[in-house]
Amino acid sequence: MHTVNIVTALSAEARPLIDYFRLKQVHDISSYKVYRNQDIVLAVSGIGKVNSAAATGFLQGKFDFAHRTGWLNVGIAGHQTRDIGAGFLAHTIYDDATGRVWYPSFVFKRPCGTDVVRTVDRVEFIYDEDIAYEMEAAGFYSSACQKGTSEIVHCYKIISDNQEHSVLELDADQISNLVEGHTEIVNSLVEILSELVQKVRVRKLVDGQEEEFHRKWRFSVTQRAKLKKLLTKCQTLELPVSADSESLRSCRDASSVLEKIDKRHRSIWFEGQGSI
Amino acid sequence: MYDTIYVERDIINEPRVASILKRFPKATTIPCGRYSEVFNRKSQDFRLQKMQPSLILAHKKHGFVLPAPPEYGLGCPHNYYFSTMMNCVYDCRYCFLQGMYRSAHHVLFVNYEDFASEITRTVQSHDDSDVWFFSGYDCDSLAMEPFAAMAEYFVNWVENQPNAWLELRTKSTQVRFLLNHAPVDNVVVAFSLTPQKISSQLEHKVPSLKKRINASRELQSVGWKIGFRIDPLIFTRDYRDQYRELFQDLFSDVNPNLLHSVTVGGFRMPQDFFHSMERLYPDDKFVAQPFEQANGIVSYPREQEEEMIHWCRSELSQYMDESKVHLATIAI
Repeated sequence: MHTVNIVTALSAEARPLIDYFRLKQVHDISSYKVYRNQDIVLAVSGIGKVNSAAATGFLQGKFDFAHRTGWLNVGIAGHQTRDIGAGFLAHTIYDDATGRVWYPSFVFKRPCGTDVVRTVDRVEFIYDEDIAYEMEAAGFYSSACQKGTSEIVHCYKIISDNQEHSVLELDADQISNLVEGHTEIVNSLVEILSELVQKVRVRKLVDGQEEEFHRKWRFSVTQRAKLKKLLTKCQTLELPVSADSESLRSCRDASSVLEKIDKRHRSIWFEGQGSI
Repeated sequence: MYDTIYVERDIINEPRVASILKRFPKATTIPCGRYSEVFNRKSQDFRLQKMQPSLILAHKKHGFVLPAPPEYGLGCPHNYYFSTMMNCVYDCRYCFLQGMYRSAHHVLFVNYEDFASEITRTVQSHDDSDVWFFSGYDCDSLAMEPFAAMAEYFVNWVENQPNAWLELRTKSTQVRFLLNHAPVDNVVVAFSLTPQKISSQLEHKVPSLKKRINASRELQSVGWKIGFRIDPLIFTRDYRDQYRELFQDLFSDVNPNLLHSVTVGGFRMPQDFFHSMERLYPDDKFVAQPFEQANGIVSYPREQEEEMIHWCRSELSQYMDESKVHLATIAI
């Protein structure tokens, strides 16, 4: 299972990342250009927050199993004062059109600086405030956070234009060159997000174990939830419970299985030494 | 300590904010609207945030002082609590703060003056009766003292409020300010204690028992009123040995005759908070235990809890007058 999704607006932004991470195009998807390797899925969304949100939603449906993957938006931005080629994470994201604001959460040591990012609906030439202007972050961020957790959703922006260098002067090769200079840092961010994702994933302890029980007995939806909870607790307390165990062999239905596991669970208490 | 500090835009130039920011010169300061934009939003993972929480500096607008539940207190009929902070620097697995908020970031309400005015109004509303104010409900009262100076402010405030009593509840050893201040008669510094073996398992980032006992001894030796909060009692099969050792260590260092009070209480948590903890820490042995659930509260089975409390009270009676030992039946 892969761990991080990257969304870029342009193919020119994606190209250096595709090369760096050796991503291969997924050919059976026609809605977006999607590339992947074992750890990363990358989609090219098209320009604008609506496209970015839609592509993010698409990846969630297609690849984000149980909403436990990291998300990274990589793209260019304009800025009043920052130098061309500067890169940073967004610490505040404003949606210019709606006034909504998000504050991405940093639970890791940042490998780079941070700045405010304002998502605008039209290309910005004026740069009124001393912040970054771009067109995707708000759509991407709100969409990615809808089903996942915000600590593993981030936007990394690279300055492509400022008051001295107009966005109109940019071509695809220049954009690719700018992103290429930041592949190492994008890699660091992918590694950081992957580590966080692993921390979230280990909490799902009993994946698969309850299937053995479902094969032998018929559980209602409520009973399934109770079974999962009990199995998780028993596993945590290092109390082995198996669908094949002698003690459960006589159980005729799910209720009696749950009763027996519950009884076994009630026999054990924390011992303050990590052992039960 | 903090890499990121959010500050409500309206208060960014306040002297207390400036002085706190000065303590963290390497932190990134991020202006925000209301603190709730950061703290209360959806899609937050408490456990991930707990790895590296940010600080949020804010103003509280209302609800400065709240009445404590009727069962709460140390024998006085008028009990209130106040929280200038939300969340705690420590990470105790039995603490309801693990399941109370969406965020693990630390919120510090810096408008202490508004809390103090409300404390004064509350005291005045009870004529000449004593009124207790408990700090340390949504936070630890002393852990952030080096930069927040919250205890310093309120100790100085209640010093001039003859009917107000202040309890500073803590697991911290940040007592330097108190040691440099003359003892205040209507302030009790209450240390929460658990046997060291249990503490090592459940109270993450908390100073060792020995350090906490030392801090309490030092404060007592210069005349501060000290309390101990043996709450919650944690069951293990050898809990008697563990708590007996705790009491022996405690009272070989601290004079029980000079103690203000001791409370003992079982583990109790509102079930909604407990269910949040189950989701957050499915891999934690303490949380996975077979607690009972009744009337919206998760606790040890009644007989087990009563037995532990009875044993502890009886053990404590060997050291001090029983009137000093109070039963904590509720966690506010």
